[in-house]
Amino acid sequence: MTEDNVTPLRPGPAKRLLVIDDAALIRAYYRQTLEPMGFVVEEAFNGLEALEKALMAPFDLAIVDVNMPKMDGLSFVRKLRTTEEIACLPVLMTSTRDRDSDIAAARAAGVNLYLVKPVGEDDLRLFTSIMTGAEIP
Amino acid sequence: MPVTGTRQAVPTVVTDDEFRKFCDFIYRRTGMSYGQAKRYFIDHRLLERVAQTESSSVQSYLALLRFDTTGRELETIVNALTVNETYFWREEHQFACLTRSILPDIVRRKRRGERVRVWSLPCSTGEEPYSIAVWLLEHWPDVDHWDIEILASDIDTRVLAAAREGVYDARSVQRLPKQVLGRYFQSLPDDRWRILDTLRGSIEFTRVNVADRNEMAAFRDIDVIFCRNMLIYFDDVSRREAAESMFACLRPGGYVCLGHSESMSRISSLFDVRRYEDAIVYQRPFT
Amino acid sequence: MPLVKPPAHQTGTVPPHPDRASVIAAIDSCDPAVRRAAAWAARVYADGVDIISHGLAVEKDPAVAEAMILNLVAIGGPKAAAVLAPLLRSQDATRRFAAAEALRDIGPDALPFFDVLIRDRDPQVRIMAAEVARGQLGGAAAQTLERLLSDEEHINVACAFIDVLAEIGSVETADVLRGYAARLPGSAYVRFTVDAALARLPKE
Ligand SMILES: C[S@@+](CC[C@H](N)C(=O)[O-])C[C@H]1O[C@@H](n2cnc3c(N)ncnc32)[C@H](O)[C@@H]1O
Repeated sequence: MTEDNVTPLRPGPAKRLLVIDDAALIRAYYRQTLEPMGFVVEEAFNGLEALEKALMAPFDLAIVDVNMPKMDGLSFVRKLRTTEEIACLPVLMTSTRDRDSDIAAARAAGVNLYLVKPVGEDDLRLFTSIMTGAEIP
Repeated sequence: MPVTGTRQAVPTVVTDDEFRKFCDFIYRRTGMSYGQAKRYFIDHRLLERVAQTESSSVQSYLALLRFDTTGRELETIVNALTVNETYFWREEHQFACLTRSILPDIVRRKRRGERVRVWSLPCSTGEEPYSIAVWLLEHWPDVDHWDIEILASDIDTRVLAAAREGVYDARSVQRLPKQVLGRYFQSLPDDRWRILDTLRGSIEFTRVNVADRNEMAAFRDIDVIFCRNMLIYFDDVSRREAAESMFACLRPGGYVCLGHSESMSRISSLFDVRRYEDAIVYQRPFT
Repeated sequence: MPLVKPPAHQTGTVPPHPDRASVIAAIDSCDPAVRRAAAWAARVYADGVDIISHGLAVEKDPAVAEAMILNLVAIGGPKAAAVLAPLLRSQDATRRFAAAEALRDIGPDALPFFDVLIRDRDPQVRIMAAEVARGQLGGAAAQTLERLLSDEEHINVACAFIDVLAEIGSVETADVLRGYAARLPGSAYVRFTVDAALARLPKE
């Protein structure tokens, strides 16, 4: 992976991302892509672990998969939106499902942006920056 | 027929197959799961029991274990295998959470005269349930308005005997504030401490195997379960079963507190996670 | 002293095990607590799988379904696996994963179902079937995933296979992964996934 063309974020407190996916390799992909830009990346294995982590420390964005054990992405977002302390956390959802009905369901649950997997590096960097208010690379 | 003068050679090695059979047996009975990493520890304990029971081989010891209908050998070997490490005021922030957040929430839904039931599972040598008792007396402003039952259980009969005895060494009480030690303990020679009789008498210690659904079924309508530092010794399936059993033991709205390195999030979705000022805890939903 | 000892009869009294007829009745109860207890009680009966599968087919309460699936694992065997396998198609993600996890825990008896589901036409089902291969199914499952990976058309399914292979694969898996990456030289995502998996595989 070439990192010389990665624009660092503008100075200020580092933005914190919560990456939620049951596949370890995908979490690692997000980390590798976003950490060099100055984001702080925390990982969670499913929606339940993510809720726990989100309740313990503040985040600027959650990047959430749909298909996960114990608590899937949609249930996570619904729970998030009704949990007072963390209800406003922006959510970028990634999914292997691309039907209109899937996207509508995600919107209804409270997802801010829906991307179909696999999400390329450039898109990931761009949308993460936009959604956290960081400078766009 | 025993022959005097000649002693049978004591077995000194455990084969891979014997190790597997033994671990499998223990796993099915208790939920405790051991991998190769624990091989040395297991082999040692196993060979010790082989020698003590004067079994001629590991094989014959395993047969004895399997066909012992009294359950006594199982009890002895389980006692030898458990890790009982514990101390007073362990993760005291959870006790703070209990008196500051959990109990106020629970008694809001109770009528006067109803009891508050707290269960220390596993309790090991008693430090945890006694800590809870002392903490409530010290820190819960409402303590005189409610009848509180503290239940305490473990699979290991040795630690239960020690818990009923209530005598502790300096290491075990070292985190307790001096005044608390003075108020609830009697000083014994050799820097040992005995918990006051009134406290000893107020806690019910019982033998319970968490992995045994029938034994767990004897406990119902519990308000709070402290289940700390036990599930780490279980594998995925027995953790899920234990979580499910605890769910059934709790009243709707009741709580589970886990140890600091444990999380319900990879075990079960039965509970709601709750963030309070002092701790993350898990609540059985109302519906 | 506000601390009171519970009356002895409240702790340690084990209720009697319900008979088979009342378990069958209880699995249809409208009280979830009764259904959950029935799921546990069913495991001792020879037709426990049938009793539970009857309840599971219509179960809406996630907590009760979890108890039912748990007890299917405890009973184990090919019949329990046959009840769980179709649940990989469930619309409910929690249920699908619980079934995959359960098949994985059932072990070798789940292998025939895995072999079919991993070739399913629906990519979402193939992704779930890959979950079954984590854990104890052993080398046979890993080899199946390796064989299917080279022909897999769907990149998300392939990445799911690779994620599982990173966990259960052997030294030989590395070549299969490199072969897959070579087919899609333009995708940084695939390149990354394969590299990360290679780093996790056993060497020699
Ligand atoms: C490390 S101690 C924890 C004590 C205390 N809860 C604490 O956190 O300090 C673990 C205890 O779990 C008990 N234990 C292990 N398996 C058990 C089972 N299946 N049922 C009940 N107790 C069990 C052991 O006997 C041991 O006393």
